[in-house]
Amino acid sequence: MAPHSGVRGALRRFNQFYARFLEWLLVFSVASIIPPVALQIFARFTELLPRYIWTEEASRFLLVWTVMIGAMVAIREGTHFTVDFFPNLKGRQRAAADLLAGFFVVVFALVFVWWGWEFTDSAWYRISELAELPLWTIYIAWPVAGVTFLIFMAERIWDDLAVLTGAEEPRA
Amino acid sequence: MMASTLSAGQAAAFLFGGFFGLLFLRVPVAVALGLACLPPLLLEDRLWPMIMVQETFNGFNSFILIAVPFFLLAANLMNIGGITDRLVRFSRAIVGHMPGSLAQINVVLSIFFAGISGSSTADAASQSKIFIDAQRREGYDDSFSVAITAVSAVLAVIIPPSILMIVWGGVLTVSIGGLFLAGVLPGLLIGVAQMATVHVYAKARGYPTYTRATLKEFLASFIVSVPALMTPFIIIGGKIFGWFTATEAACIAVLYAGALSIFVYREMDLKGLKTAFMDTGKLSGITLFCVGTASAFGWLLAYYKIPEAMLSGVIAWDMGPVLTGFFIAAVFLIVGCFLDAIPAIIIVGTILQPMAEHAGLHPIHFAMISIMSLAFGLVTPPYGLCLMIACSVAGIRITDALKDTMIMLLPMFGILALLILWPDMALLLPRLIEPDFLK
Amino acid sequence: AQAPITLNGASQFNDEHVFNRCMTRFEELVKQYYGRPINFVMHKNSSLGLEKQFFEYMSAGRAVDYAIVSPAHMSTFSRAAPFIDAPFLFRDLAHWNTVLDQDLFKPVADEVARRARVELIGYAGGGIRNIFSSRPARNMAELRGLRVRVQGAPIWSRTFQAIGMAPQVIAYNEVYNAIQNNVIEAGENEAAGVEQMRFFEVGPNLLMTQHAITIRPLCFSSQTLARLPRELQEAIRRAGREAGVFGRQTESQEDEQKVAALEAAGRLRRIPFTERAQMNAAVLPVMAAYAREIDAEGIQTRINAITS
Ligand code: NA
Ligand code: NA
Repeated sequence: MAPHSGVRGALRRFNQFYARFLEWLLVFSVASIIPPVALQIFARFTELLPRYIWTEEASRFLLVWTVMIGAMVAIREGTHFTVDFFPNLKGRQRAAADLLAGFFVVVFALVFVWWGWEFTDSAWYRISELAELPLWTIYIAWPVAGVTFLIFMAERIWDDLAVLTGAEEPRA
Repeated sequence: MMASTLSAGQAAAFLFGGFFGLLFLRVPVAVALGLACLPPLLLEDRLWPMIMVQETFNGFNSFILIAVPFFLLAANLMNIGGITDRLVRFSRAIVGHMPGSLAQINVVLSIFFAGISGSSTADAASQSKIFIDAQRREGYDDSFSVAITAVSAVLAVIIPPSILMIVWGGVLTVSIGGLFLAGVLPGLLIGVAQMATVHVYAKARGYPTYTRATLKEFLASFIVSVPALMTPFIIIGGKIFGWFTATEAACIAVLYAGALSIFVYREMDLKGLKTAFMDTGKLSGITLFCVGTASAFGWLLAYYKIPEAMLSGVIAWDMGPVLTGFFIAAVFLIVGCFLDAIPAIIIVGTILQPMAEHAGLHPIHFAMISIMSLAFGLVTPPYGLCLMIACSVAGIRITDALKDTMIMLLPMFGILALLILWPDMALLLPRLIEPDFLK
Repeated sequence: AQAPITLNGASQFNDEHVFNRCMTRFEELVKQYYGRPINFVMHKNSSLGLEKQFFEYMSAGRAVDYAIVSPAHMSTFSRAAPFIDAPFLFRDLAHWNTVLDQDLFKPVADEVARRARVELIGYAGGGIRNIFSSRPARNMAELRGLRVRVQGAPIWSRTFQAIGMAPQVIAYNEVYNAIQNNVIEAGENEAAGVEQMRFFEVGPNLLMTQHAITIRPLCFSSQTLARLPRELQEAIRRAGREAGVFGRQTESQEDEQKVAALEAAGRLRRIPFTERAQMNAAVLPVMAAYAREIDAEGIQTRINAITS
C-alpha cells in the first residue's frame, strides 16, 4: 500500500509503531505469568523458595492484561473471529459491509472507553486483596483498550471510505 | 428498583436476536456477544453497561483460565523446539501406510497432543499450521483438511489433561483426577472413529498413501519421541502424587516443553522463543476475549433466569437415566453453538446438575456426557472456536468447511450415544485405577 | 396502580444453605413490618457470581440490593473490614455473642458504609471454623508443617504461619481436588462449608482448633436504601438485625449438629486439639501487629476486655 502523506500517513505510522510496541508488551506479559505460578508450585517442596501469598493473584492480573493487549493487537490485524456470511463480497460492496461492521466495533469501543473509565474511576482508592496492588492498574486496561480500538479502527475505516468513494483500489 | 423492566422473554429476544443479528452483519463474535448485552443493560433500571466491563473482568480474572495461555505456549514451544516434528515422524511410522496417510497422522498427532495439552484451541492453532498447507499440497480438499484438523482438535479436551474438566471439577465439585481418568477411553474411541472416517474418505477420494515404515524407522522414531511422550505421564502422575494442582499442571507442561526444546532436542533459539510468546499472546487474546464477553452474556442470561425458564418443568418429565443423558447432551450441543464451553459449564451445568442427580446419573458420567457435547460445540457454528481457527489459517469460509465437518461429526455422535448408553466407558478406568475417585 | 417495589438478593448457595434461609427470613420480616406489597427475587447458586461481586454491585447500587458477604471480600474497599472475621478473636460462642450484642464492630461497619456505600444491617454467621485434614493432629508439634489452604487475606496466612503450619493459597473451588491429590493436606472451614463442598470426603479428620467463629454481615446497598420510602427503610433495618440474629442462632446450632451427624455417619472424625492456649499465645503478637496496622487496636482491646 502506498504511503500516505498528511494526517492519514501520520496515523498509519503511529499505529505501526504502537502495534509493534503492544506486540513486545504481549511477549513480556505472557512470559511474566510463568514465574509466579512456577514459584507457587516449587515453593511447596523447598524451604529455599519464599512462599508468597500473592502469586495466585499476580498471575491472574497478568492474564487480564495479556488478554486485553492481545485483543487490541487483534483489532489492528483484523484477526478477531467472525462468522462471515458474505465472504464473496468484493471492492466497494466489501468496503461498505466492513464499514457497517466497523461501526459496531466503534460502538463497542466507546462502551469500553466510557464505562471502562467509570470502572477505573470506582477503584482509585481500592487495593487488591492479596498483593495489595492498586486496583486501577488492572481496571484501566478497559479504557486503554477502548481508546486503542478506536485508533486502530480509524485507520481501517479511513481505508474503507477511500475504497467506497472510489478514491482508491481495494487492497488485495 | 421496580420489577424488571424487561421480561425474561424480551431479554432473551434482545440477547439472542442481537447476537445473531450482529454476527450476520459480520461483526466479530466477541464484539457481537458484548453488544448484544447492551440493550438490556441500558433498558433495565437495575442494570447499566458497566456490568459488561465488570463481567468481562470477572471472566478473565480466573486462575483456572491461566491454563489456556500455558497450554497454547506449550504447543508453540513444542512446534518451535522440534518436539512436534518427532511426534509427526512417530505418527507417520504408525499410520503412514494407511490410506490418507497425512490425515491419519493429523488424527494420531492430535491424540498424542491431547495427552500433553488441555486446550483444543491450542491443538487447532498449531496443527492447522502444520497440516492444512501440507494436505493441500498432497491434493486433499481444503474443506476436508480444515474439517479433520478441527474435529481432531476436540480430542484435546476429552483426553486428559483438559481445561474443561478442570473447570467442571472446580464448579461442580467433582474429582478432577476422576474426570481425567474417565476421559481416556471415550477420547481414544473418538480418535478411532475419526481414523475410520478418514479411511472412508481416503478410499472414496483416492487420497495418497505413504510407504510402510520399516521396523528400524519405527523404533528410531519411537526412541526420539520418548521424552515427549512422557509428558502425559508427568502431568497425570504429578496429579496423582500431589505435586501440583490441575491448573498448575499447565505451567509444568510449559516448563517441560521448554526444557525438552532447549536441553534435549536443542532446536530452540531466541527468535523462536519470541515468536512462541507472541503467538501465544495473540491467540490467547482472541480466544479469551470471547470468553470475557461470553461471560457477560451468560451473566445476563442468569440475571433474567432464562436457562431456568427454558428448563423449568423438564425435571418433572421424570425421564430415566438414558433419556436424561440424551437430553443433557442435546442441551449442551445446542448451547455449544453459541456459548463458549467455560461459561456454558458455569451457567448450564449447575442448572442441569439436579436433573442428572434426579435421574441417577453418576456425577462423573454426567460430566463426561456434558464435556464431550461441549467439545463437539468447538466445531459447530456459529461459535465454534476450533473450526474458526482452522478456517482462518486455511483462508476459507466456515460455510465451505461445514458439510465435511458435519459428516465427520456423525460417527462422533455415535460415540456420544454409546457413552450415554454405556456409562462404563467413562467409569471403568476410574474404578480400576483409583476407586477413591468414585466415592 | 404502581408496580410493587422489587429487591434483588444474591447467594452463592442453594436453598438449604443457612445463608439462603436467613435471607428468606429477612424477606418475610420486611414484608411483615412494611405491610405493603413488595417483591423479592433471589439469585442463588452463584448465578450472579460470587460474594465479592455481589458486594461490588451493592457498592455501585445496581443489580444486587442485598446479600450475605464474608468480610474478607470487603477488603478492597476497607482494609479494616476483614478484622470483623479475623481468626483468633473469640474465646468461645458466648464471647462472640456478647461482642455482637454490644455492636463492638460498629466503627468498622461505619467505615465500610462510608467507603463502599454498603450498610451492614445485620450479623449472621456463627459457624465454628476448624481444620479438616487428611492427617490427624492433636497439638502444636503435630500441626507443624501442615500444608493448609487459608482464605485470601494476609492475616490468615500470617497467623497460621506463626503457629508453624505451611499456609497455601488455593482457589476455593480447587480445594477439594487439591487435597484429594495431596497438593495440600488440609483446609479450614465451618461445618456448613465442609458439608456443602464435601470436604470431609478428602479431609476426614476435623482438628478442633476452633480458631475462628464466623461473622457474616447481611449487607444492603446504601444507594438502593436511600431511594426507598422511609417506612420501608426502617422495616429493612429492623428485619436485617433480626434476620441476622436468626441466622446466628440457626447456624451456631446447626454447626454442632452437622458435625455430629457427619461423625455419626462415619464420614469424619473429631480430633480434640489439646494446646489451644499455646496456639493463641503463638498468634498474639501477630494479631496485635495486625490490629495496629489497620487502626483497630481500640476494638481489639474492648473485645479482649469482655469477660463472659
Ligand atoms: Na489434528
Ligand atoms: Na488433553
